Amino acid sequence: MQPVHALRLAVFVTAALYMQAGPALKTGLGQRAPWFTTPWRMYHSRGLDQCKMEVFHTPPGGERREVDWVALLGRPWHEAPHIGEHADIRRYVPTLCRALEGQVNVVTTCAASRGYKRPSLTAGLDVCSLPKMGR
Amino acid sequence: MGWLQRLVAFEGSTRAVGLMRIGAGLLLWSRFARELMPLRDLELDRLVISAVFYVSTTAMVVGFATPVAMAVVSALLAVMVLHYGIAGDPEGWSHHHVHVHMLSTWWLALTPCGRSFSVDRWLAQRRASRGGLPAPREWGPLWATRLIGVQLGTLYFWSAIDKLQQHYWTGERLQHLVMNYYTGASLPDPWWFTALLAATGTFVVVLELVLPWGLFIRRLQPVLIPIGIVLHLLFYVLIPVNTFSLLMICLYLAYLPPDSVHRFIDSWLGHEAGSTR
Repeated sequence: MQPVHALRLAVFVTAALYMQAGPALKTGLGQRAPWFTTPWRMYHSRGLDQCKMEVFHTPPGGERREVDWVALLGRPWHEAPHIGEHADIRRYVPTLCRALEGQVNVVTTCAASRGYKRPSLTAGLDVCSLPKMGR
Repeated sequence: MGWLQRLVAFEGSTRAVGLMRIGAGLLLWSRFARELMPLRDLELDRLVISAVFYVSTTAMVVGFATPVAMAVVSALLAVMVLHYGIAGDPEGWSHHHVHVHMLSTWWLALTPCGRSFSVDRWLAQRRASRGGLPAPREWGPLWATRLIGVQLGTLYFWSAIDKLQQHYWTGERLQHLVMNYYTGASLPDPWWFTALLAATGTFVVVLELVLPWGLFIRRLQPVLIPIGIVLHLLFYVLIPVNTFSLLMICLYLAYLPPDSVHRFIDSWLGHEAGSTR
């Protein structure tokens, strides 16, 4: 092999190893990657701070059903608020309780890197009967 | 070891790397020009970075003193990413999108990317014409284009491995992104939407596992390159990836046979297809 080709090969191998180092250590082995590398993780933690919220309404003498809570807040569907944790429902529950007569249950399910965490254990809790939240 | 010899001795038309140089330079402007305006920061070091950026990237795009320009842009991006990006990162310069800009510029700097579509070529042609010599060839060593291929393959492969650890195939991680960017806490739950996200998540992971090796196989390129381009265009439209998608599409030129790119441009311009040598 000519010297110039040997030099190119050395550069090629070094560069290829450099590109693999970050992801192999971080993603492959779960180690800390050196500061001068990048692990090539795309949108790795984006969206993990999001929770979905479901609202169930049981009118007096009626049956329990899921309601379109975004519409009850007076917003179009694409302007639904972001919920980061169950406690965030406090901002919206008073409005829902004013709009709905009867029992209102709110269940939140928050994102996790492997799917979702367990839903909040609030399916049977009437949020409108809670202090400062109700009608 | 014949393949190693072929790898390091690989030569061809420089038109594809010339196009990549222009595309990558324009995307550097798109990504950094606003952040590096002098009015954003009057500290001396930032003013120096700003001046070097505008001068060197302009030379890169127009192809003037190209080897020097590429070396300066490469060094500048290294300073921006590995020094400023790591130390505080006020502008998001340590982000992997910026790493792609840095690495692709490094690898392009190792090619004779100024021999086509450049002021350098125009000057060389003028010199040759005055001396009664034939026009200089658009030809040179292209081993570093394989590094660009390895870079893209690395990015796809490890991104797929990361997604495999994150339940992309169930669609749940895509649901999180939908909530983050579109629906907030009111995630639609009809069965077809859930199934669509699961199918999309699975398809993306499978594609990212196929692209790293498939893009190097010439017979698969007519299928995989359009699929890859559509994937990146969808990313570009649906999630905020900034210049990342367009840079990746631009770098796909590294996979194409350079002489085919040369002949295609000849036929596109209506020139008689001649030898690329």
